[in-house]
Amino acid sequence: MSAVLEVRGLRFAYRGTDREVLRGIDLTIRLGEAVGIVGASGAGKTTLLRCANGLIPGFFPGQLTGEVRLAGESPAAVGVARASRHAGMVFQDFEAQLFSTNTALEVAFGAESFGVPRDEIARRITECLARVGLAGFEKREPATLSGGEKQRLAIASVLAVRPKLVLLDEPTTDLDPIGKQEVHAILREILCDGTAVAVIEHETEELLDLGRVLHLDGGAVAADGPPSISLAGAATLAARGVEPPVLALAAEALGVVEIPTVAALVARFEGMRVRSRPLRAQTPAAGQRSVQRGGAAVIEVDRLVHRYPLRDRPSVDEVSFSIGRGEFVALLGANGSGKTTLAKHLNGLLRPTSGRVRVSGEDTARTGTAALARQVGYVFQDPDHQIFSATVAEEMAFGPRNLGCPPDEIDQRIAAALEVVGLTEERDRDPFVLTKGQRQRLAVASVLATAPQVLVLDEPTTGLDFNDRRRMLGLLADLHRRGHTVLAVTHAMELVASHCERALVLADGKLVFDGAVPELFRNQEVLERARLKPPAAWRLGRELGIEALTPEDLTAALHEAVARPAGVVS
Amino acid sequence: MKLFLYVDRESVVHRLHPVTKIVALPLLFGAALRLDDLAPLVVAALVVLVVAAASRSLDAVAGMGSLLVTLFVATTLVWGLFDPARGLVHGHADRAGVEHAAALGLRLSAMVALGIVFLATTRVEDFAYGLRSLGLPYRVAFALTLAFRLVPTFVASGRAVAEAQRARGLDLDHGGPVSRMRRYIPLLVPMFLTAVRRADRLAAALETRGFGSGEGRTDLIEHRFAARDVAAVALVALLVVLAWRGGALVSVEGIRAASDGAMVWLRGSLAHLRGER
Repeated sequence: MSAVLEVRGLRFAYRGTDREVLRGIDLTIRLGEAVGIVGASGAGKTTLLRCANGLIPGFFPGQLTGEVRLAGESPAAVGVARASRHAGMVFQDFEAQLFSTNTALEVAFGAESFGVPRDEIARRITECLARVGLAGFEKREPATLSGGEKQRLAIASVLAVRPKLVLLDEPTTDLDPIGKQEVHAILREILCDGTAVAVIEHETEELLDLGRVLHLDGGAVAADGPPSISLAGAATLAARGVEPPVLALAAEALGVVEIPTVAALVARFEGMRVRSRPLRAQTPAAGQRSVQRGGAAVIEVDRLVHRYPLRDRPSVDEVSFSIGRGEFVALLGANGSGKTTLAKHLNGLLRPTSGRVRVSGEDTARTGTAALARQVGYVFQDPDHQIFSATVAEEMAFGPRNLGCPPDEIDQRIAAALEVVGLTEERDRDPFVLTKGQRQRLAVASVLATAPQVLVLDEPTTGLDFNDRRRMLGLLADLHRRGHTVLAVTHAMELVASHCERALVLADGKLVFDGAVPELFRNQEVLERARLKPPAAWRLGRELGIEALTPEDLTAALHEAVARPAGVVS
Repeated sequence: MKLFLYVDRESVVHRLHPVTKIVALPLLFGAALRLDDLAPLVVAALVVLVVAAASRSLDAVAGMGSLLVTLFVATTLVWGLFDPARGLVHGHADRAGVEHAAALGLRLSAMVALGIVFLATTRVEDFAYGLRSLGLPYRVAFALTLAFRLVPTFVASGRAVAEAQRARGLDLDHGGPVSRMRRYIPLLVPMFLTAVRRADRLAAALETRGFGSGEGRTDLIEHRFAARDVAAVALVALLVVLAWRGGALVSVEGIRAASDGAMVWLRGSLAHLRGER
């Protein structure tokens, strides 16, 4: 097949910096080929895609050397608008790329730009919406779609131009587990009509059945080939900031170099006795503090209903639960299931339409958000919605100062919180030069500085690479150990499996599950209704007939099985 | 969350050619600005309500009710108190002054309500289409309507910023004006930065969908002038003339203004028809 993208000796440094983000990339993508791109943040993944469609140097100027050919043309020379006829781009942020009044017009926009005749545009709208599972959504306003639907609409709007190459920059980051799966299924389908796909994805599990995975490290190609090889070598991947797929870890436990298929792995253990290790969340120590076992309730939600104006059904519908002091609870559910709406009641940002929310016995509807900030720290998903100060320390002083904390105590709190989140050395730096992971931790630190008992975190790991995600998870575990009550609103099932004791699951605003995490993973009905999927370790474990919450649980069980003499059944 | 005022419904006003609506709006605004007595302005407000009802967008207007009431009350208060000729602070306390202030308040609210009806019945794409039919280049027409696409997203991110800072104990309800002003900095900095970033991302998204590719652009939407457009323009012309009241019917000025309006519309439709061929 002929090449759609050819990159030779590509080097690039953004204007105003000396650091070369790309340091000599060679890459060829052919029609009908799918390439997954992995790498730590700062490895040059996004920069590479931007070079492919001319956003670099058109939108992001800098020092570019080497050669880029998109369908035989230089995207830098023809400009983004013309290059986009050949290379469509889907961004991570699904809000900013949709701008039309309804989905039909959204899909039409690209085709209109290229002068496609009206009746042909109409045909493409029907076809492309059907492709991404949005047939019949023509008249919906994009803003009213769920996250997954928005991202699929973005793909449809790119497909309507009939590009030869579709570039996707972390398209599934903000999606619920089934939403991620649906997007990747669409990508597989696009390939069938000869379109090439290049997709940046942190979740390596999603890339295992792709033809090719490109691993970037420090602006250079570290590995390029079938995922069974380029995603093998779990230790190396982890060291380079890429999450190793569970299958790679399993392969390593067996001493195999290449990643096996699930079927091959299952066959390998045929007849052997693999035993589950005791699951963390079921050990008596973990659940001890929970309310059901008599701990003091710090959050009590009683028949909470919240209805936004002009909506036909409530976003939170008759939800009741309580959380004991010191619990670590996950709040789960599909995009648009009401999780964030519910969470915003815990610090009084939203008032109940009916029902009641109490924090430490106080009614949040009467207390007011500013006063509740002493007890409930709320970390929002996007740290850039709150950062405004010139230094890290000043940013952190904002909360405690609002609460009337004396200056010397503020300094102590800042020092302590910086220590916890590992930003002590950045104390006097400008927050805007920090990395995304550091800014996210700064947001946590500036909430910690108000010394709240309860921490509510909205998607604390979204958009972070493997290293930053691990650091954030370590931070949450640490805060929990120090006695904080933690509620994490999340789609990240790995976080839930490895850290949470209890899960609350919302579906269409209703609480459909409240219980231990392993119980949730066993409950197929709830999982389906809430568009959830157990983490990869659990799913692979089930194939092998065991239960494993974390990759460590799984590999330990495999090690044990392999170590036991063959044929011996104890 | 709904980000546009547009309400997707079938109504005669929805079906009007965008050019008709774009021309009618300033003409009706002009007519309203001619009026400054309470009685005719009450009639004008009723006309706006009738138009809203005919376009099935009464709920959109009601949805902005608090804005309309605030505008009415604020305008009435400001004029009632500070009008140099009739204001209370200048020692005039009579019924005429209060009536005049209320009339001006009503006028502003009625005009804003009419604008809401326009936006509730006209998609931004139709708006851009109308501006292009009037002869504006596509880029200019798009840029003018871009504000309507951006404002709602700015409002949404502004809300997110306010929530994030309130969650850290920011209290905007207490204290004197100076300290209150200072407390807006934590809101303004992130709001400004997110707005800039959003606009930037939107620009990138537009270009990656071929905006400004230099190739002849086609339109999915299509509008044709119909009898209802003629009727609508006749109605608008009648209202404009009525705004000049009785005597103005025969005044040269009134007739010239009405014929000017008609000419603008006619030119627009001709330009459009030429474009069709």
